[in-house]
Amino acid sequence: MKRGAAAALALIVCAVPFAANAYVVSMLVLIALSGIAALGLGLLMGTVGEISLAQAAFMGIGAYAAASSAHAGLNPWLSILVAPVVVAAVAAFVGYPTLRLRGHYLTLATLGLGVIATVFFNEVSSVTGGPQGLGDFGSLQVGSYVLAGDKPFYGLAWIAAGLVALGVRQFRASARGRALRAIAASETAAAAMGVSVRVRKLEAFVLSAVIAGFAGALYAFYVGYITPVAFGFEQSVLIVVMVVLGGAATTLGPLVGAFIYQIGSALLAVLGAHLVTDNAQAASAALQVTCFGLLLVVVVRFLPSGLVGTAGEVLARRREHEPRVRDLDAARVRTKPL
Amino acid sequence: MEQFIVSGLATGAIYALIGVGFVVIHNVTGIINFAQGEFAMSGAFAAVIFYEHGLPLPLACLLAAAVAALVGLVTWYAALRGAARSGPVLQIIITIGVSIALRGLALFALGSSPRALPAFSAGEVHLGNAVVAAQEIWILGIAVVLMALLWLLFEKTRIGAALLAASINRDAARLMGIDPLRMSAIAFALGAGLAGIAGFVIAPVTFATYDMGLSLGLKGFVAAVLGGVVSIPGAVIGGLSLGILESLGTAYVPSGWRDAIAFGILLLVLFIRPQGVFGRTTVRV
Repeated sequence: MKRGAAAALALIVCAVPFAANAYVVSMLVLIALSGIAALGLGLLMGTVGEISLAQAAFMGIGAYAAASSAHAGLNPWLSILVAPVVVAAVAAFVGYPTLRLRGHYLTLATLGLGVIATVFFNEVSSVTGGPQGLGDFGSLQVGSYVLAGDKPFYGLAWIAAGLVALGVRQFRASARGRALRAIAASETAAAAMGVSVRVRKLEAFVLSAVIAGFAGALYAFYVGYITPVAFGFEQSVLIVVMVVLGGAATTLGPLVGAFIYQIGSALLAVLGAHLVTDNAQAASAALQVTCFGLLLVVVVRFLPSGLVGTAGEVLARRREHEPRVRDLDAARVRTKPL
Repeated sequence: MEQFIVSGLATGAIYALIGVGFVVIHNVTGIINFAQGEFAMSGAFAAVIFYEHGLPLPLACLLAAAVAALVGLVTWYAALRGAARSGPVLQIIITIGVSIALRGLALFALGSSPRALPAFSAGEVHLGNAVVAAQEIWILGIAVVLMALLWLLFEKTRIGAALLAASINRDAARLMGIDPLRMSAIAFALGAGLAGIAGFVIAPVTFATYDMGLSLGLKGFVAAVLGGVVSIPGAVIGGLSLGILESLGTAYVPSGWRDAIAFGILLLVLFIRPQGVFGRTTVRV
């Protein structure tokens, strides 16, 4: 069932670029790229239960690291490898001191990091190009074939998303993944069982950041021109929205969340433009933000395991014919001795 | 120099008010409230709207504080009360959701152009070498009065004692006949009201904008962390020192780096002294 769903999804993904127009394809590229960053955050939120508010900042650091090293003359493929290294260093620097504390200090620290990263992108213009952004850093090539534009990137982005999803699934099932879930359940108990809590948490945080940095590097080569606004605090919050919508504890959840978010915000933009004609852009933005804020609250309150997580629970219950309390009561009534 | 310190104190007082509200909510409910800045924005916009509809400024401001407190109450009852047992991660996510929903609502209802509120009294005051806008004196005065009222509330009234009891030990408080959920509602009203007041006293200086809450909330947050997250006096001193450091900092670094000062301090404090620069309480390590 689950494997069938994944296969169907893969098939749809393969068929789309032949059927859809350029707008849809470019949206799907963005879904894949934000989905990769969301997969990274899901790895952190769904296992240890820590929230990072710097996921877009890590994307940005990855994007700028790749773009500026390619701009300086490095081979673009190698520059994509530079990005995760830089991001890992930054994440370790922030995570190492804060993850030894109990309580949600990582959330606070990543919040600070996100803001500082934005200032950095805007102000260190010799490296980042400042508020005007950074362009002219070449493009990815395979032999003499230039990977640019929507369709080639569509393939690249979804292959990357698929690989990251598989990797996240493997990680969750590994001994490390189980140790992380044990930490989420009880740090003290996990430590007593010999789990080195601090090291495992730091690993998960750095890994989640590195995945975002990778997504950022791909994003840089897709758009060919990067500006600080794409990596602001609000973008980080939106990645949290994607993860929560889909379900942090599932592999497909963050991807589905990214899908719902991008499609939903496109629809809301159209709706906003219809409702308010004099300042349509602001109205659409407002409508998007309001709806996703409210949706976030509703999902957390009523479907805390997210859409994919809840669907999985329902399917599992149906498959196992797990008798519910009501059925048990009915059975007891029927079998009452005469 | 004096100039920078006085204007830093005024901005710092704003951060302190928002930070104290954050601490009150955190202590009583255990919730890290990311919507604190949006409560401030609600206060600022309510004052602007009441004033534009012809109410006298003092009345508009009084009502605006009530509106902000109401927004806090609604947030508690509609979004958070049912999640009281959901654990901190889900609660943090809920407050993030509330904050972006409030910001979106403000943008939708009021647009993206800044709204002005007149200063409480016009003119400037000369203090030694410093020339200070009258509004900055108002900000400091109102902050001092509010802090005194808060002290009275927590030290002299039954409800203040009940709030303290609920923040020190919820179970023991419940055994003493104090309803922690009711105390949480009061904490949200109080914290949001304080933020709302901060919002409308700063509005004459910075204008009211739909996204003012983002920066204000984050700075109030830094103030609270500087003071050790759980201490009200700590948040006050944290806010004031943050304001002064920012103000002095802008004299030496380009203005674009202003936000980096606050969050650089935040990271530094979390790295070196997570119990807060002025906090006495220790954090479990």
